[in-house]
Amino acid sequence: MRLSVLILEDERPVREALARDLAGFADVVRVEVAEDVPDAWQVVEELDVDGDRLALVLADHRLPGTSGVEFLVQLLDDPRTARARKVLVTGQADQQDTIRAVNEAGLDHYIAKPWDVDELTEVVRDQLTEHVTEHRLDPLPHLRVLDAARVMPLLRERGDR
Amino acid sequence: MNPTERSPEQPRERAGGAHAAASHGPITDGELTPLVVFVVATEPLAGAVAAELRDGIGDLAELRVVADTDEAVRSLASTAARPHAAASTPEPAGGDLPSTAPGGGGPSPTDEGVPSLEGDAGEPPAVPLLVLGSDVGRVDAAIGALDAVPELTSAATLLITDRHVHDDLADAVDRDRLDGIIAVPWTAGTLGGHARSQLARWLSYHRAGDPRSAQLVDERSRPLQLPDSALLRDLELSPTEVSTNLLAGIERVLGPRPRLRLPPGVRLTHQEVGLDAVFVILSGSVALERSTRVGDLRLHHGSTGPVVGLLSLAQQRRAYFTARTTTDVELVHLTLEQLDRALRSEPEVVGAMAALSIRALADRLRRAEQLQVEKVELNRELDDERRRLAGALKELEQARLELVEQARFVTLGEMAAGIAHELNNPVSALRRAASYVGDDLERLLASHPDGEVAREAMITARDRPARTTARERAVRRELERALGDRQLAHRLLAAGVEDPVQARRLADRGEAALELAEAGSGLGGAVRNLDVASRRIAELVTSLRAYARPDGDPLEGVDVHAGLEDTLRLTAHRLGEIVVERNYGDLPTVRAHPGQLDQVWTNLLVNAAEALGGEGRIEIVTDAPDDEHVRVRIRDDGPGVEPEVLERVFEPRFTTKQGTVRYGLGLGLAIARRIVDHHGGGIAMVSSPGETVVTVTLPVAGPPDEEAA
Amino acid sequence: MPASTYRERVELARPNRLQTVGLLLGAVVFVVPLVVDIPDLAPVGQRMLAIFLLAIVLWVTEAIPLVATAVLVILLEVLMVSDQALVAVAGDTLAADAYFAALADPVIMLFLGGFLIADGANKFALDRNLAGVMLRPFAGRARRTVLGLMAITAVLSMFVSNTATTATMFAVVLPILAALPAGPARTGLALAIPVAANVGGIGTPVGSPPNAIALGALEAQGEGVSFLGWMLLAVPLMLVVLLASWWLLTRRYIAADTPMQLELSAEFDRSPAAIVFYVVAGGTVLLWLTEPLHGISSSTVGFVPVVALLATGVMGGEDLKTLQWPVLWLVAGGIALGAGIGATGMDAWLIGLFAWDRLPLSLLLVMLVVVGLGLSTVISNSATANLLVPLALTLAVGLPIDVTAVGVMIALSCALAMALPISTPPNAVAYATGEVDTRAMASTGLAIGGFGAVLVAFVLPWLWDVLGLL
Repeated sequence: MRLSVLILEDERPVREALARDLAGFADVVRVEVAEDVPDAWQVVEELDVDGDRLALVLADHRLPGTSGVEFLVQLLDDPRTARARKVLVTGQADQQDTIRAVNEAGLDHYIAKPWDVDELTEVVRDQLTEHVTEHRLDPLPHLRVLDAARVMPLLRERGDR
Repeated sequence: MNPTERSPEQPRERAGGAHAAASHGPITDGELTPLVVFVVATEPLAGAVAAELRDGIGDLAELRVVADTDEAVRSLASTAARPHAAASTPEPAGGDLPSTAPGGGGPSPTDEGVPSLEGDAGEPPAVPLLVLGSDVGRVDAAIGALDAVPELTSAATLLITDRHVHDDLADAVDRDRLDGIIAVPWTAGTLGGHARSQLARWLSYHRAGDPRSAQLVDERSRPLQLPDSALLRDLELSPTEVSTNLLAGIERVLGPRPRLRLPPGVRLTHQEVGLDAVFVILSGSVALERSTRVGDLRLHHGSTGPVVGLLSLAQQRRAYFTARTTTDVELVHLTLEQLDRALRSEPEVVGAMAALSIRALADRLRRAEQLQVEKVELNRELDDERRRLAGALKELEQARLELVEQARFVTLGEMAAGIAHELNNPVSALRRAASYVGDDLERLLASHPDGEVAREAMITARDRPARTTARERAVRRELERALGDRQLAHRLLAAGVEDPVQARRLADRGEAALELAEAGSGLGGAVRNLDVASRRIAELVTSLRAYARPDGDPLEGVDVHAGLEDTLRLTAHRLGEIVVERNYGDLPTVRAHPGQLDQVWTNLLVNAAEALGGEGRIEIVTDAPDDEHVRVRIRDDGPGVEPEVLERVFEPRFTTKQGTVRYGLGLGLAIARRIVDHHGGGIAMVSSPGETVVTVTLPVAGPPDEEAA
Repeated sequence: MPASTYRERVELARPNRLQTVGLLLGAVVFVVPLVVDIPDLAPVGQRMLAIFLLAIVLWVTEAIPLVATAVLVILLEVLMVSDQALVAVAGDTLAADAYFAALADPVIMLFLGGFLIADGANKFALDRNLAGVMLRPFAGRARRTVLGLMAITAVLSMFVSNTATTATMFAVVLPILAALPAGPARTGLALAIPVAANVGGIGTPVGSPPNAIALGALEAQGEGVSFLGWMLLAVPLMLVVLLASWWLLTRRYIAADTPMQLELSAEFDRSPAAIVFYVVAGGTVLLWLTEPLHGISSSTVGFVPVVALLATGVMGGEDLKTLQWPVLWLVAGGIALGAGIGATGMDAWLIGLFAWDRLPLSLLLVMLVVVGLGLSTVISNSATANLLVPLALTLAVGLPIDVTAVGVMIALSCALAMALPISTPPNAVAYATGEVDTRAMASTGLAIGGFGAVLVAFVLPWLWDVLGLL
């Protein structure tokens, strides 16, 4: 099982830039990109088939025909995605959207465009760590992309063998 | 009771007046109405009253003595019925009457049917006077019963009473049905005098011009038997007559007084200054003024009265007003001492003085009351005015807010123009740099020994057409299957290699080559994204510039579609998730102010978007209905505009969102219409639930020439 | 924030190829002794052999979790070779409770106390504070700091499980690790922690599970070793190997001038609960170390803190729940396995199988050590001990060597296996940090393990003999 990060962004240059900024995670975490909501659900399907786990969604707010917030709310209705951490990456969500994202979609973080690479990777690391600790996943396979100090207590509980 | 002092609301006066006006035309000698005076009383009072009345009114009226009100009513009813019966069966009028009338002049059988009365067939008798004895029982009830007969309602009523207290008169007093109360026993002749006076008064009100009045009144329409007092007499006279009398009395005491002739503007008294004299005005007019916080007020002019200074005597001899002549005035100056002597010596002067004072006071009081009424009326008008003003103020504030908003957007527009201008240089540099970087990288890699791999990867990545993310994943899966190594497949994809055969070849060339290809591919993607992004910025800047272009002369060759596209690009953030569908027809270019047209499109689109509430469809249809015009229709599938709103939707300041001034609303459509009007075009909105269409038609030729100049 | 209403799905792990092979092979090796008649082995012994072979396969392949194999062993023993066997069998059988008793073996009690003290140390941050205090003398230069870190790790590891020690120490070291420039220094530091934790684990009976397994087996043979006795046997080796490891790691990876700053604050919890804990923990360790004076067995002493901490409410049900019960049961499985082998006559059959005494003793010892080291490099240390200790003790009975020495040697050689990420959990943690690659870990682990094995096989018996410990 690999943890995976889904990037939902309709503009190709932005999508590619996000994926490239997360390249450092790619050899531990599965990074998938989707250009629209149907494709994002396709990715969820593929992850499920491969036995991988959706741990984090980075969604743009403005998407053709819908909004990132809408998608984040939808995620809550599917057991495969309900537990994924949710981050909005956008320059355009107004206060109303953001309030809804926090209240209804359980938004975990908000990254404003244009983003800072260090901030982005830090947020991703932090959210993945949260996901692992919250659901008490085995952190060892993913330790390199996690905040190791924070997951050490999880390791502590496993005994010698 | 002086009838002129009756309030106009008094019921009887009005009824009587109406009666007189309605029933009686000009009265001629030939058809005099017979008059009947009723005495409702029992013996012995009835006899005494009848005797007195007969002395008082003589044969001017028939006297009927009845014992109670019923009898009076019956008697009158038979009299009134007589005109119909008279022709066939002349019957003595007294046939129905009791023969109890005492003394001479009573309705004895011989007196009955006064020929003049009998002969006036068709004319019912009038009843000018009722004399009511207190022995009829409750007076209110008696008068009430008598009033059931219309002829009796206008009769004056005298009550003859031997009681000390009456508590049965409230209704009669209230309805003004009681004209006099005479206590028993009365001084001989008093009752007759009363009756005569009442009769005279009744005739003067109800039968003006009746010759019988002549027997009762003198040449001045005054009852003959007046009180003897100078005061009451003087009150009856005109002010000029009284002042003439006064002056005559004074001169009788003091000898002739010199007349002073004064021009207008002379002050006779000074406010709050001591005054030891009075002025008797013989001709001309004087105004009374008082200086107050709000300036000099002229309080009396017509109501000044012929004696000035009289009232100061009641206020420690300080003048309350400043009296100022307003015309040429002739007057007589009297010191207090002179006045005092005259008053002491001549009773005529006292009466005249008192009468003048009472008149002056009465006039001034009326004036004050009139002022009070005027004040209330003014206050009401003031209130109305204030309310109107408050409403106007609110509307003004609303308009101001919208103007401020509009001004803000004008400022924003100017700022946008400035920013667009400033962005020009960096954007140009960015565009060029993107292209140079690409070229130079190609050259650089070509010179590198192993550069070919990187160069190929770069060109592949740069020129690779966009595809869906789903397609990209499919390619990756294929590669994963072919290579059996997920990590490697990932890296090869990153290096831009998709063909499994090619991929294997690259993988076989070793780590260094793979890394080189990855770097090259990354460069290619970056160069492409740089190009795409900078081109987009350039487009936005162009749109912004076109949008914010300052108005000058209308331009030839304006492309309506380009303006629509620019506007759509710039309002994209407001359109949100609304789907915009374009149905562009072939349009000729038009002559127009492109910036203004963009404003029209912005206002219409934003208005449609607001109506949709962020969700729905907007369709833009353009066509050319004829060679001279282009037409733009903006259709939304929002809830629609109500009919009563629709007809005012282009009016300035109209907004369907009450109390809130929102961009694009209120003034937005009004501004759109103004711009379209200026261009010589037309704008119209048609709306039903689910479909609202705004149609803008513009002439190809552009604004009329005088507008352009 | 809307709480997710979905339960975590329990995913059944899909068996990998090795596990599939393990399941199939396990079935085969389980059935063969039951159907094939084995000479000189009584039917009950044959059944035991079947269980033993199954346990080998399952523990080696990890076709099912280690702890599952352990409880499976107990269940199969009860069902097949106890007095309550489903199909009665001729021969000596133990009562069923004897096998179940493995779950509450005195050694388990000893471990229970050790675990609870270790958890309490974490709960009251005693471990970190001790580390901070102990590190102070070593601050300054990089190599000395590493020595300090290793010493502290080893000391903690003597009383706390190796894994927990590693987690605690990595939490301390990660900031330094991040501050170091990428390169060998990071590798060296990241290796120092698991190496020290592994080596430190041999220092006391509660240091790591193989110790307990050996101890349990020895006690079953009537050859009990006291807490202090074990330390005397093992600590010299621990110290030597630790120093050698430090020398190797620093020479290989950490340049003397590497900048390394480590400031640890030590703020001891002074709450009444913490103080009670300090007293109980200190008293327990003191009693363990003074067993010759008072004669109370270390197992009994180990149960004292359990009672004291629960009674005072310093620790409670939640703390009991988080104890590493799988480890305790894994040990219990080994004890039960040893008991079964002894009780079914399988031990006699093993001895009779080969003329062991014809082999040179030293060769036999080397063989045991190498097998222990090799097996535990690729499979669990405890499983290795579970399999090897009963066999080795059986063989030792007929040899001119102290049984205790053999048991301890097996346990020590298991603890020295650290060549692969899968060898021990500390190794896995270090590897997962991404700072250590397999090659570095293998070369270092082989060097240290080889050096330690040589000492265990050739020097320790002599030393113990010289010191008169056995």
